Amino acid sequence: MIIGLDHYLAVSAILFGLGLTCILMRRDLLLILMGLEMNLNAANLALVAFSRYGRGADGQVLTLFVIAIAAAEAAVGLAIVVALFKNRRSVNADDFRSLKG
Amino acid sequence: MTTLLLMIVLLPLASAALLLVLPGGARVARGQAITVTGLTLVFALALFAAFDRTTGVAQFCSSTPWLQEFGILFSFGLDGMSLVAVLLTALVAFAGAWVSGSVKSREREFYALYLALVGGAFGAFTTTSVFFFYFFAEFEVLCSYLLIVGWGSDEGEATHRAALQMTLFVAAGAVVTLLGFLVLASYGGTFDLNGLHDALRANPIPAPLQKTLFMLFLAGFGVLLSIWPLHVWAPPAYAAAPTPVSMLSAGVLKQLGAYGLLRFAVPLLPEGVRWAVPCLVVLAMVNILYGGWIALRQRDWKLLISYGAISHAGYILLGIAALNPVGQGGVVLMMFAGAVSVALLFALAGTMEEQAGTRDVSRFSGLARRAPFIGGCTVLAALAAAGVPGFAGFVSEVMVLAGAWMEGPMIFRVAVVVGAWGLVLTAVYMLGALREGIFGPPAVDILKVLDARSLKSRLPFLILLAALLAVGLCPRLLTDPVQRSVESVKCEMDKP
Amino acid sequence: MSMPSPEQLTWFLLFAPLVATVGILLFTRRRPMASAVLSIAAVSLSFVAAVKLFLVVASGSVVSIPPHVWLAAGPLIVEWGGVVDRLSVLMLLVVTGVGTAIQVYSVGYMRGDSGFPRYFALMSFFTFSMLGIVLAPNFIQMFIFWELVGVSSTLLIGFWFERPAAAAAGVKAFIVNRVGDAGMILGILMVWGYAGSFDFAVLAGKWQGLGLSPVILAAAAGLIFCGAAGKSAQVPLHVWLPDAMEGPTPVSALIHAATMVAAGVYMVCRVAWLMAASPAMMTVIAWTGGLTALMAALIAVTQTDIKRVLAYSTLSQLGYMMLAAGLGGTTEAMFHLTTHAFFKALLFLAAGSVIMALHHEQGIWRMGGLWKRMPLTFIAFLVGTLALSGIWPFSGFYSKDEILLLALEHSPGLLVIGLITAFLTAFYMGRILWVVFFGEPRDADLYGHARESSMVITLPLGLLAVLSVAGGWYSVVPHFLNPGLVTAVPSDKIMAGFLAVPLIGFLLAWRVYGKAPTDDAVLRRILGPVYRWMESKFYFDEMYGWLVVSVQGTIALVCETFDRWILRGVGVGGISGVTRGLGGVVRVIQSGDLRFYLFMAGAGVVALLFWWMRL
Repeated sequence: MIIGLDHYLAVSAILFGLGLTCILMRRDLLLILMGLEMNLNAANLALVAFSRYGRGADGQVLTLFVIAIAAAEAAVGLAIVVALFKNRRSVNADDFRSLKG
Repeated sequence: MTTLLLMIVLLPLASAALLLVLPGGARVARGQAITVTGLTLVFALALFAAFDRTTGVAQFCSSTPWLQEFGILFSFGLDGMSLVAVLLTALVAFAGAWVSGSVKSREREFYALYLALVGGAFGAFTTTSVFFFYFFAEFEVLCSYLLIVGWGSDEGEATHRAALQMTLFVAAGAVVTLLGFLVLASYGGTFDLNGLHDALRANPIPAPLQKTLFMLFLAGFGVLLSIWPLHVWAPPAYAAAPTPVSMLSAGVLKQLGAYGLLRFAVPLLPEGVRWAVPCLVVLAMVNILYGGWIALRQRDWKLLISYGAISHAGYILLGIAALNPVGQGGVVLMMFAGAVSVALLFALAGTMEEQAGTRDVSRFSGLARRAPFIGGCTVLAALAAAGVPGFAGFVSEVMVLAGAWMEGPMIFRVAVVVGAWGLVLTAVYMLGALREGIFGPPAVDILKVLDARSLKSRLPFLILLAALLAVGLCPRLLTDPVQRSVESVKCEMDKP
Repeated sequence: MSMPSPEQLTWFLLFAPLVATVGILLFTRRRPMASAVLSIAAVSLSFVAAVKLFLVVASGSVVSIPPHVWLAAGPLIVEWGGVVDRLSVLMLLVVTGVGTAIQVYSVGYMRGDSGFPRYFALMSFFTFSMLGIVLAPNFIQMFIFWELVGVSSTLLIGFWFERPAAAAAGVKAFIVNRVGDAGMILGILMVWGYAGSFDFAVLAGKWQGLGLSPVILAAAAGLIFCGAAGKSAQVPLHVWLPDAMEGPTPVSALIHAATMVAAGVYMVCRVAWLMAASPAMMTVIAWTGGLTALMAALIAVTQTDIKRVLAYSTLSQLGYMMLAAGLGGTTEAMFHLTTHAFFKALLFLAAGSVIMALHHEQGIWRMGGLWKRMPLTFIAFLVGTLALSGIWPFSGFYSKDEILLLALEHSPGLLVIGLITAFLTAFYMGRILWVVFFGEPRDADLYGHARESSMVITLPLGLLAVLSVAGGWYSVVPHFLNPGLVTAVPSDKIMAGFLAVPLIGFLLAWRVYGKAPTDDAVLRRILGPVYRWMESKFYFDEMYGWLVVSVQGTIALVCETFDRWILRGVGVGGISGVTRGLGGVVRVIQSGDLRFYLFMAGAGVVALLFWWMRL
């Protein structure tokens, strides 16, 4: 069996679906962040695959950017979670609803 | 002189910024506001003296590229119409700064915003760029919102409501005008007024679009000019605003609407205007009568003045609809007369209110005995507003009515009759208020009113009165420069 | 020193009173006597200038100041100038002459009043405005001064502004005048629209030749006549004049008897070419005058306030003048205007003397027998009464006869009205004379304090009395106005008839009031319901009250309600309500739950994808 673009994309989609499910189902902010990370990696996988099977290195460059930004995002996200925990003694997403209309 | 013209716009804005940054007490802030507005008055008079009366084109022009890719220039220039507007702004701003002594909280912020308001008005009246006209007009709205909300005289909730209503109305109007400006600019390929003139003359906008555009401008500027039924925001806002802000918004900001119609809508959309004439005339009649009748029933000084101003807006509309130099010259003169006399009335009503704590006309009964200067000034101001000869209002009314009569159609004849009846209505509500509120047996509340005894406290009233008298006695002071400008507008309109 | 030129004299004459006004306001506000001196000096110097101008004009020339442009806007060109011809110089003499006498009198009458300087400032300002009307060579200039006269009259009527009645009367005068003026400015614009000029001389030359339709000619004349009807208090715009008696008595004498109210007549004479172009309008003017004369005389019979009787009598005499002007008798109208200025000013000043002596009591039924106490005032009043009633050889006889002769020639109907009015005039004046000066004192206390007034009062009375007697002799005024005039000497029978009418009136007045009654019971019984109509002034005030309060008031109420409830409530409230309501619906989705938001986002993406794939 020759592994082609479709296979990569399928893995990427499964990974994205798992990440999204994690975000939607879990209440723990840390786990939500982890789900987010999975989403980003699913996108990265798709980008690299496109780059490999398409033309040019655009996808790989973008992936490098995404990794860098994901690191920053994780740092900021974790910092916010820590700050929230300090203030409210909770990392449960359902406890934070004060922004409702 | 070109620098002077730039200075008159930038100086108030710069000193507003300076006030916010630099430390200093209330006295310093007020002193700076008076000095700066006084300087702009001197500049305005210097520009008036240096103005070349033999030509109708803009003078003292300057322009700096700002966003050249879109044809936006930071450009200024002065023709007869803007000269009059600058003069009236300078007069009202100076008098307003002078009577602002009753502001007793956050003075620095107040005067900074006040100066910004003044600078914005100068900017809007002198810029020759459509973009910056819009910019300054919006800027004005923002400043007056903050001023009314922060220092308004009515009870908290009412002030807030009035200010919000005003801002929403005027902002909605501004959006509508912006739409019109954008279409104009996309047709003409520039935001510069002169460029637009040339481009639209060479390549006119199709008639149906002109009609739509004119209605947009009428609605947009109509909010500022308080044309029926877009006037509802005006009386509560004027009444709630602190005195100097009432003076500026009822005097100057309102004239921005008339100025916008006369400067942009009429010359750039000749087909549209001609199509809208019947509508303009009908609206003019409605404004004259409706404002006058409602003013008849007002017992609150500031509301009475506000509805009177709405009635006067009808004459402005009638003069614009006349589409001839007599009527339009009358409009420019009426902008001056209306602004100065309304500002004077607001200054007087504000002075009374601040001391007696009420605006109810009947509670000032007998004021003429207790405070002869304030009472006498009120009598003169009411007479000026009623169009008595000797004051500027009379000349402008005659010009507007004559201009309207010159246009043949029956609807104009009817409008002139209505206009003449409006003069009677004005006399009824103005003198009715005098009878109740200035003459008559002394009431209790007037004991709290102190007369303006020193020359210092009389100065703002005297300046405004003197301006009304000077123009009323020698109307050519203003009509000569204005006439050239409106005639040049006319020439361009004659070309199909 | 060279003599000033006539042009300079004219300028001086016009501006001297204005200088006095400004001087008083700026410098002598705290010094009553200085103010009075300044004002009287100005008006008397103007009088001297007027006499000089009179001599110039009498020699056959017309003084006109070369005009300069005051306002120029396209075809709207207004010039500023002045013209002194026979018509205006006569008016100048009346205004400054009578004005001087009355201002001197005022020094006595207003003594001790806290507003003394203000009074003289306003009097001077009035004189300035009135002279401006007289000198105006074009419509706009005349209108400017026309309105200024209205303003100064308003301020003088409301001079004692703390009295509600005085303040109300001043405002009423201004508003009623404004109604007339609104018509006038329309007429002026109309004339300008068709003829392209405001200038009297230019218009007089071309108005008839423009070939306008009779309707337009009548409308223009009628609208301009509105202004005259307002100022000269013709029916139905007469209601302000009786109320104007709230002002100080010298003001009533100068403004509301001698000068301002004559301005309308003067204007109609000045623009006689305009009126003559429309015969229909001339008829209307003549009948308006006749109606005013008759109606005012009927009302005067029933009034019990001495000044109000004189006010209605003024109305009635103004009606005579308008009647004459409407019949084309410019000369006759101006003749009566002149003599009336003398004797009516005299009557008012004499009445003022009485009022002052009785501590500002104006009701005639508290007076009586005063001739013994105030002989000089009595003589003055008697002279005025005889002149007003048209008894030979007093001035009123000549001028009124001219008008009646004119009516005899042109319109029998108007002659009858004129004769009835003449009879009524004699009757009500006789009534006043008997009630006030003869009979028993009705109020012993007031009577006891009554004293003859001082020189400063009686001197002007004497001067005006002489003029009232001699003002009509040899028909000097008509001959001056119209040098080519040939006076047709009427037959003795007609003259005797004209003289008999007022004599009958006097006789009847003596029959009714000669026996010192205490009220009007006799007349009331004889006339019955008619008397009530007359006493209520034919319900004009009530009618206007209804018109203003009910009609205008209702419209105003409707407008305000519409503004408040429909525009502000339904309009603004509706828009903001709908916005608010929509916001309320949409905010339900905005729960604040993070996972719900994400679910919505995910579901949205899925929905979009689904939609795409299907396409």
